Amino acid sequence: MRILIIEDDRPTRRGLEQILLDAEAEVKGVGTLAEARTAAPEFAPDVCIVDLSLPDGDGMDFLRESRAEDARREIIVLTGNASIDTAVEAMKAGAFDYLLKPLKPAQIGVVLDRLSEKRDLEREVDDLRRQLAETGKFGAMIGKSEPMQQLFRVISRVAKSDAPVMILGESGTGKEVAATTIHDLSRRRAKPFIAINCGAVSPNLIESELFGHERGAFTGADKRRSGMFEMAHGGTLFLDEVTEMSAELQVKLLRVLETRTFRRVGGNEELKVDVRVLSSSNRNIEEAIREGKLREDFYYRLNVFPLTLPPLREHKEDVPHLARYFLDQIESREKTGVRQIDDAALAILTAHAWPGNVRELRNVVHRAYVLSNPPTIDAEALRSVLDSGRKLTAPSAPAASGPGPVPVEVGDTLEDLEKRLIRKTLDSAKGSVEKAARMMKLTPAALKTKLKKYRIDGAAQ
Amino acid sequence: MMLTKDGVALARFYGDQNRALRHLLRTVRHEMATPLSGALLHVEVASRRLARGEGAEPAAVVEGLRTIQGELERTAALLDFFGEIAVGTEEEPRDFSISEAVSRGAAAYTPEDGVVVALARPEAEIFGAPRQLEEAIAETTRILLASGKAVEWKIEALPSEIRLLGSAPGDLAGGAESAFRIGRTPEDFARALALVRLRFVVEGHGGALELSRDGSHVRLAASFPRAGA
Repeated sequence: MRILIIEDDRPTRRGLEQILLDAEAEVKGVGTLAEARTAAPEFAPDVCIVDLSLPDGDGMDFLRESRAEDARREIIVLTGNASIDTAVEAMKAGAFDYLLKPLKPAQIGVVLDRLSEKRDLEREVDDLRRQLAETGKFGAMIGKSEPMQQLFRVISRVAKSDAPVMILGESGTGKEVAATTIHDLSRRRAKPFIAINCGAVSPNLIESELFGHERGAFTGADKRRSGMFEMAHGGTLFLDEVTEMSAELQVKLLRVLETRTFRRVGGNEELKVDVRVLSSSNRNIEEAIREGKLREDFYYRLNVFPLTLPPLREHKEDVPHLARYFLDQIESREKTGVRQIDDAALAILTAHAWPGNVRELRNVVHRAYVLSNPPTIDAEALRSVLDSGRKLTAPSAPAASGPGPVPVEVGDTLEDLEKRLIRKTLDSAKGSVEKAARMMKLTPAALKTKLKKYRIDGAAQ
Repeated sequence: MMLTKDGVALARFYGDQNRALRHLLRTVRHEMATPLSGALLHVEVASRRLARGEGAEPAAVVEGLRTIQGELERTAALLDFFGEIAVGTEEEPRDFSISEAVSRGAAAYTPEDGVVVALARPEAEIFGAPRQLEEAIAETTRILLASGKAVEWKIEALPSEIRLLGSAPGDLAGGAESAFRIGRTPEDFARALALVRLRFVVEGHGGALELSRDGSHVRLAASFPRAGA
């Protein structure tokens, strides 16, 4: 890191130079604004540490000039005047931070660490952007489509802040993956990421899960246990399906979010935590508030920054990338030699409606992988998986054999639909092609052609 | 003394002194921050050098220690300065003639030394601490004379206020406010302390001090409320 120090007091400047050299920075020190303006273009500093009171002018002028010239150059201001106004003005003008005199070496270390962390994050986000442009991958998320690109841009911005984020989206859209990506791109990434599904934990246990408990707090609490807030200290806590939490617990959590303190169940000690809270829900939030499932004040506290994940049907152009990505992942674990998906299979995947979103796609690819002969997943394997999936996921649908409705979903292809309809009708007709053709107002010859086309067995010979 | 009967003038004076002292303390604290920074940073540097085993070649460590000593001496001088002024506020206040106080302050110098005092006619009085003003004038005269070789003090009695005008050859590089900044050279340090002291005395008497540049001269303009005004 190249650091330019602009400080007219020589002992302070020399001391700062030495300390920054120890931190393995490349350092140059000057005593006036004029010297700084001459030195900056040649030295090309990444960071400038500038005193606000200089013999030939105001450090704020340099701050503004420098930010206008190079927005990536970070400025740290030094001031002997412990006025919050000066510091606020500097921060508004784009200063990275300010240091109050008398300078304490530890304070300088903290600011440099934060700066270095920020620069690492920026580099990481740049790498991710490059990776995104080349491969469509953004951390653990994938998508080259415009809705996903837009989402990645928002995530890269929101990750830098500590603001609570509420991630909304249908089931299976990847809310937890988005939460992990936010954590991985934040300054908290070296600290824990703890996720809890509020709908999956018993209401009797969730309070203890979140806040921990003291020994003897309730029957079975034979020792003190840390909760998720303590475990996530310094990191991120992800409250999945937050609308499933009781109203009473929402009140308690609201207090924790406001005061950053909590007590273990059965404890008296106030514990302080530094946790960024991310939350998610697949419910309609307005409805949840209306129905009293989500307290409005709690919602506003969680929803400082809302993030909505698009359902897969709104970015179907990403289906092939996602399918190949899941296949690579599965093959790297299971190594059966199935490494590709043919174009017809990809077309079927792209045409599917994906009511279960990315999670459903991942499961379909996995099932097709298991059913396929190496090295390729073909259309037949996929059709078979999707058909059996429909049977499994349509509990209200009657058994495959026998009369009853044929389930239809938005995005199904006409071919698929026709195939299912023929199968169902043939089953109803107990395999009689003539009878099925009559039911479908087709000639037996036309039905036979379709049976051949769709490779449907089951016609009585 | 008219207004002390109901304590109004006295209360106002102590209020002004208190405000001026707080302003002075802020200035001193602000100015102390820089040498303290230098000292703290060099203590850290020396400690790191010794930790790395560079004590075997002690020149750099000794140089660092000298810097620390210099910075602490500078800090101590600022504290002494504040203490001296704070003690001066214990003076019993009364009505007094500005002309007399300025004359006494400049009494060590004659026109041959380059110091001229033009007194107000008719006599003009303010309520406050004459020794404070006398000492501030003595110090400012000495400093201005050292850099400019000539100092002129002029007192004007206006209906509602009394003006004390000072003039000496010199410059105000960096603006009027920078003249009150405690510089690093002994001359800058002394000049700033003299001006800060004069500003304290003027503000401590309910007045205001302005510095400006007029051609080749630095001009000081202090205004005081008249006694009983």
